[in-house]
Amino acid sequence: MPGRSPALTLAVLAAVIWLAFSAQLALYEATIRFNRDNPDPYRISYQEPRFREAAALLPLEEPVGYVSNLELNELRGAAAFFGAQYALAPRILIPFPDARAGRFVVGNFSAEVELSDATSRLAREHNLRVVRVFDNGVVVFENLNRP
Amino acid sequence: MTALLAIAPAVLTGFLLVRLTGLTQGLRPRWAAALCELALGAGAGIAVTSSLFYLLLRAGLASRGGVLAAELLLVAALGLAQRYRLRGADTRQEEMPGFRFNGVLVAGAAAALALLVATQVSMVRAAPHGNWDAFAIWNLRAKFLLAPGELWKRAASPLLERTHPEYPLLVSAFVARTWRLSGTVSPAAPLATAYLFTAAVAALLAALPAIARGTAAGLLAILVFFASTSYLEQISWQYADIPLSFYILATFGSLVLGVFHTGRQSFLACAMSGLFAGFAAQTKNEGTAFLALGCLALAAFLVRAVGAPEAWRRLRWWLAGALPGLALLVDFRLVLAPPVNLLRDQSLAQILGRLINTARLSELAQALIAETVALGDGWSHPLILLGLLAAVLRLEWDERLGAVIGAAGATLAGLLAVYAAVFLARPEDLAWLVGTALGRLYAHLWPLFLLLAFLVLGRPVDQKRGAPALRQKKKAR
Repeated sequence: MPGRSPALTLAVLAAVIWLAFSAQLALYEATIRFNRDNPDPYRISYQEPRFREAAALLPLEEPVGYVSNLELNELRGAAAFFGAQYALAPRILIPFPDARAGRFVVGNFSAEVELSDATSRLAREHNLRVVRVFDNGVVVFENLNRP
Repeated sequence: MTALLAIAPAVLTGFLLVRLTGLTQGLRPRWAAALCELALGAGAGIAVTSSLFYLLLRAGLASRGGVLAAELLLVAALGLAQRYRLRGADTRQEEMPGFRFNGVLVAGAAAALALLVATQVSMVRAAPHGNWDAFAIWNLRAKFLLAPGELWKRAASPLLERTHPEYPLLVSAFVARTWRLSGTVSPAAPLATAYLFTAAVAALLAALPAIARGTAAGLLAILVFFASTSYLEQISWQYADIPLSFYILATFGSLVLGVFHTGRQSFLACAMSGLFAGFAAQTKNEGTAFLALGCLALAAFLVRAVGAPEAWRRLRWWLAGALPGLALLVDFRLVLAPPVNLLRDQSLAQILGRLINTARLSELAQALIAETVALGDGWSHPLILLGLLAAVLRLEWDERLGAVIGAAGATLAGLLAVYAAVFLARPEDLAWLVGTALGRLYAHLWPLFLLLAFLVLGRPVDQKRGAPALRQKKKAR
């Protein structure tokens, strides 16, 4: 061998095999643990069925406004926004109020809010009309600010 | 299952394209040559069919029938062109010394692979839609590309302020093309894409060192790859970082293969290398930096190795290869994408101020060290494994690979410097920037770094058979 003694080389090769295997073992154990505690951490799998009925009401052609009780600059709020955006694509969601929003605004509310209170408050604050309230905290509003 | 079927024409397209170049013709070991052909083919096929889908979108012909017809036509054309492929090959591969413990290395790699598969099954079951950027950027834009009529252009709409509409479309367009062909928008398509790229990276990492340095070198490379847990964690995320790492690896991998040919294949290797560099630019913005740096580094090392006229001849092939990817990127940038505003409209004085801010420099240096430590897990860290191997196998320099190793090393160093400069110059909180991006940027560079390591490391050989050291052979040549 061009390097050290054959016995030392074989010992190092055995160590490399063992260490590569143990790296995988550690990754496997950590992954199993994490996935058991955090299955689908952003709950993306739930969003498509959740927004399916609302999607039928929302046009593809114009941007749809987006309102929520969750703040967009916090992790939960941002995850909720992107979950809704992914479920409703190819519609473009725009955080509302925004003058670029089209005729409709979609509401995405978490379980801890009282839905009727939240929808009526938002409708009042932003000049919206409730079109339909779906299960699971999804609401479609009409944007009355449009000319 | 339909997603997998829809991916098959892409792999076949790439396989036929690579086969046409005869790049692996006559190289040994045969398994490694075949693996290179498959891996390069898979990556090339994904890029070619993604680009074709983009062109069909631009032409308003990207219906399911249109995509299928165009791809079948391409496969047929490439199949017919096989009549003209280079069959004979003048290679200058030396006799590889044997190593009787290769079986043990294979068994170790297989055991690690089995665990990796089990880990990935768990990841896919828990989060089939991948990690944040998958549903917020890459797969989301794939959904936009499926929109009817001209609405597909919304994949680059400036209204998608939080989705980076300026990012190139290669990965998203491939996922969209696979969804269109399979007729269903399921997570299977992006997942299969992610695993195909990873398998291609693993295959190249085993096969290229095996061709250049012998089977044992390839097996050790794959073992160290399996210890690279930070990289492997990213597979199921479904981001574009692993695809970019593949194209970076394939760019220089093609050149490694070219080194062992003396005939026309050595020029075709340059063209394939350029092709993969162009695909890298189509994959992520960082790929454009890679293309520019790779071109400059290759030019410099070629001039040094073979002189200016021959270097220019090879570089022309490389540039010709890069042209299709570059042309599509320019089209995307000029026609669709909003401008890239990486530095957020800062003045030159502000940028320079950030670049030489010692507090930021120190914070970045600490982050780079921390991320290097996080590449692996404790004593199984891949750099420790490389250190152990270097201690017993020492280094062996193969003069034939000098220009490729030099160009690849310079490109890696240059990319790291560019990434560091961008981190420093951007106005956002540095801790947030490095926390969200540094691990992924390391992933771009890691497979090529591993390849380079195994091209300069010595190799284990049987003492009895006693093949002389490579360095001595080179002197004799």
